[in-house]
Amino acid sequence: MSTMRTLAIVALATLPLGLAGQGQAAFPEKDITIIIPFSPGGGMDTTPRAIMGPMSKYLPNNVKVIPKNVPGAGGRRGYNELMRAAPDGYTISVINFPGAAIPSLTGEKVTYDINKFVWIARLSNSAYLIASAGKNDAIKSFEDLKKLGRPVKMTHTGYGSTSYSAAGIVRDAMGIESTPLTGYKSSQEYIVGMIRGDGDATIAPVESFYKFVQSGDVKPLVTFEAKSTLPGVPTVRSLGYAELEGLGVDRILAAPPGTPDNVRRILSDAIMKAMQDPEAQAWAQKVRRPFDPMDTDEVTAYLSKSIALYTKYKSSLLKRE
Amino acid sequence: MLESTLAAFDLLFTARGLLFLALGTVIGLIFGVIPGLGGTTAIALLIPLTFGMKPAEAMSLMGGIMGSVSFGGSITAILINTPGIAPAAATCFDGYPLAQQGRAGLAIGAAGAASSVGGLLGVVVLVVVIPLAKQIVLLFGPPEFFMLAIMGLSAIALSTGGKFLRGIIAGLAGLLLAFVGYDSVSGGIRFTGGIEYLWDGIPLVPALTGLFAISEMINLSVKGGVVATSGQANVAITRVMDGVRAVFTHYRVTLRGSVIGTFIGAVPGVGGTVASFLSYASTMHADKDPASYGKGNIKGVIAPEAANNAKDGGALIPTLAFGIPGSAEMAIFLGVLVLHGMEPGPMLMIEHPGMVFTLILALSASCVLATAMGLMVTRQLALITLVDVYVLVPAVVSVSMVGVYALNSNVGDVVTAFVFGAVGYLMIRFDYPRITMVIALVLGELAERGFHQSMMMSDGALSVFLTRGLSAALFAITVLILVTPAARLLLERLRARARGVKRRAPAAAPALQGDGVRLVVPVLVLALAIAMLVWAYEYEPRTRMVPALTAWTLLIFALLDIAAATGTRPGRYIAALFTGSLAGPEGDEGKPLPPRRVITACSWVTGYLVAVLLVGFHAATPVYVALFVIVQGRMSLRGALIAAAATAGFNAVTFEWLMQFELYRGLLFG
Repeated sequence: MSTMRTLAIVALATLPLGLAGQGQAAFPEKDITIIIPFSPGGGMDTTPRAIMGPMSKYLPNNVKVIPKNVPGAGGRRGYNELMRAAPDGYTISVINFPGAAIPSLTGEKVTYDINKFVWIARLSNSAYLIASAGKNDAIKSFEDLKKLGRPVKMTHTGYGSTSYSAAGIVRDAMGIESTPLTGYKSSQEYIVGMIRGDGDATIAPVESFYKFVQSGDVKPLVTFEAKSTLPGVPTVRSLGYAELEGLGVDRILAAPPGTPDNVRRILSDAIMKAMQDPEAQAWAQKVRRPFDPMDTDEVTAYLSKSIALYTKYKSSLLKRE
Repeated sequence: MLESTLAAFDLLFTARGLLFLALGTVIGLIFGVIPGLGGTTAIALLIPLTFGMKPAEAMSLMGGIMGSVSFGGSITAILINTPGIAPAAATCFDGYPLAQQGRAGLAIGAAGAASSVGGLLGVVVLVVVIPLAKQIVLLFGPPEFFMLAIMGLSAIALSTGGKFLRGIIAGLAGLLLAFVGYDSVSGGIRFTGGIEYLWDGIPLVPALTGLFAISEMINLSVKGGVVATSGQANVAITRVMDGVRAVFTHYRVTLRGSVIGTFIGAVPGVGGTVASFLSYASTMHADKDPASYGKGNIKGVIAPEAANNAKDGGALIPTLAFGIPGSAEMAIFLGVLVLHGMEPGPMLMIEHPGMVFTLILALSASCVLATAMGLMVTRQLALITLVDVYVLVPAVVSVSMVGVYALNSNVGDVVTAFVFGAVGYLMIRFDYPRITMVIALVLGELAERGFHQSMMMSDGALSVFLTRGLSAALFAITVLILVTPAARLLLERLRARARGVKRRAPAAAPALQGDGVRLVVPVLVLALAIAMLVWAYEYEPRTRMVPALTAWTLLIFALLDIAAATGTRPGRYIAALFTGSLAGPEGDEGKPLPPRRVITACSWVTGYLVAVLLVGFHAATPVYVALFVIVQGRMSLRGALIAAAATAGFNAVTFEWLMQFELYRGLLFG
């Protein structure tokens, strides 16, 4: 009896040690949750979902990757949840950059700190494009925006949104004076608003425009891509604004502050492989949303540069009309 | 076009296609019946399930859901005066009185047939206008949205008949509540008191569930008895087919409802609730006998039902043409489209015509299938009206609270439903129309956004609302609506003078437990207006502009309401001006009720809420149901245990087992 008891006590006492040892060696031991701080359906939701299946294939121990939509307050609710999550790699989140960076840059008190997140991988990058309505005869080229004789009315989702901030940078870096027309629900809505004639021009990720360019409703004026995916559209570099090349929206996976290095690398490796997986590639082709992979080191370096650019134009982001 | 239609038939009428259509229809009916749940939740929940499906199968499933949810929602509205989904609230007005008269079968039959016909007509319109969809969407800019919202609100306030003044007040208060949270135009966060939950505003579905379901349950438990007051003998459901026939006899009502539904459905952000109420209101006003509405007029069931299902066809117009969702359901449905490689927009019809027509076919087939399935179980469902109130109340309270929680797994939603339950009960008790408040909650943001955007477009010139044709037309209609009661009064007076009748003063309102009680709500409203005004001035000018304007308007109307409630001479004239009649305001609902019963009824709901917050749904539900049945219903222990087990079991099986939700476990066990 007493031997049994001793054995049991020894077993119980050493149990945590055993578990801890295993944890070091074999992350992950249980399912991983990806927080999606947006509603189901949009690009911020479908892109991470597309790599979840393949990702579990490339993770040790057959664990699953589960999506969790935490929409609200322009992503803030989800980012807060990531900030509070245990830094063990079992909870990560997709991040909209620069969306997540703008609130603190414009002086809003936010409870998460983007500089403390641990960056795991970049999934995609959508560079911006400035466009006017197809039927707008007054604005046919980028030069026409400058020659309008009055500030350009630009449609946006709202103050503090990514496109609003981009318009601020465009004003200060490219000399395009604009007044904002805010309050649209999505990029689709403000593009249609612009087509309808609510405003003169708008700025949005280039993919959002493809179908409208194809149908002739939208005229592309200048692209922030390195190489234009739309024929005949000048790039910012060709117009002499090389600094702004690549300005756009990134979809990035991040882990809570303090996530250990080995965990971050295991996750990064699995995600990099998942993006190359035939299943994910087939999806990307089908929906015309290519991946722009960056591993944990690349994305960390990339973001420190991007955050510096936004910090440089901090005062541009702040301006209201 | 014909080719793609035929291709769509091939896609839908496969064994798997039909299976998913039927599955979608059943799920849609169930989600419709349960208050708090609806098409939005159903589609959101099923998105992951469609990952492995072919696009055509996903379209069949989604079409099945969209076509059937609204009929499910009206069944609950008719039987227990609790709309299963928001738009079905209009069906309560006449559907519930019919159920009380023991004619639930007639009402359900009419609702089912009207949904089918309305849904089909909506789809026909969709097919016809798809080539024109782009032009239609481009017709509605910010000034038109603003005027449309204002017109909708006015029309609905007017449809409350003798309660026009109170309708306006409930609407203005609803607007103020709609302004809580993030303001998309100025980017400011307002009126949240620092509560993170309120950042995105007061969520509509929990508020609505509170206003209609919880408040109605409080009301029922104060009154007691069973729903069908005319006695058990009449409840045998034999007149379902009469209801179906009524839809065709009153074909004008059906047609009008369908047209309104399609039109309103096509306007993004407005949606089914407004559509069904506008349809109800316009049918009532077109009728020779408007007074018969609200008392069990079958046309009052047909009108909102036809509109409510027709709106899906309409809502698909902007969704497919531009990727702008016409409703919350459509917003999530957009995600399904994108997930399956179909980017909604001007190119969709050119690139994937087969898919679009599969969806349209599935939607039409589901409208009919849902009605057939629903009508088959009508007899069993109608027995609900014979269940003792003291069993029905705790069961419905619990299921709707769980439904509200399941929406976003957010326990804050349960608290919201509870708060609005209390507000709703106050409104029932003192005869303020709840519906204008709901419509204002729906339209508030749209109206404010439309106003600011119009101002930005025109550089601050108000004339923008009158220089655009469509906007000017909507403005004219709004003015007409607002002066209707006063004009009616004037006309009546002129006719009377022509007959030589002497001028008479308006009658006083009927007494309600002394006149002091009548002042409770107006004074509360006045306090709300003043508080919001003070609060609004903390924010920068653009953020506060529309809320402050609304609060000032509410302040004026609250003072008018207080004057009207005093029953003094000027007060009576004010009341007459807004009701359009000298007969005095309509009587308050029911007999005076002992305050003690009200307090008891409210305490039970509060007790359940606190228990849920502390120990979670699983522990709180059976205890609450059993105690309520024993203490309030004075029933046997055995009956109480059965009711408790049934409710808790239903929650566990439906939500945790079938839908894989984890129900709230409570602060103590969480």
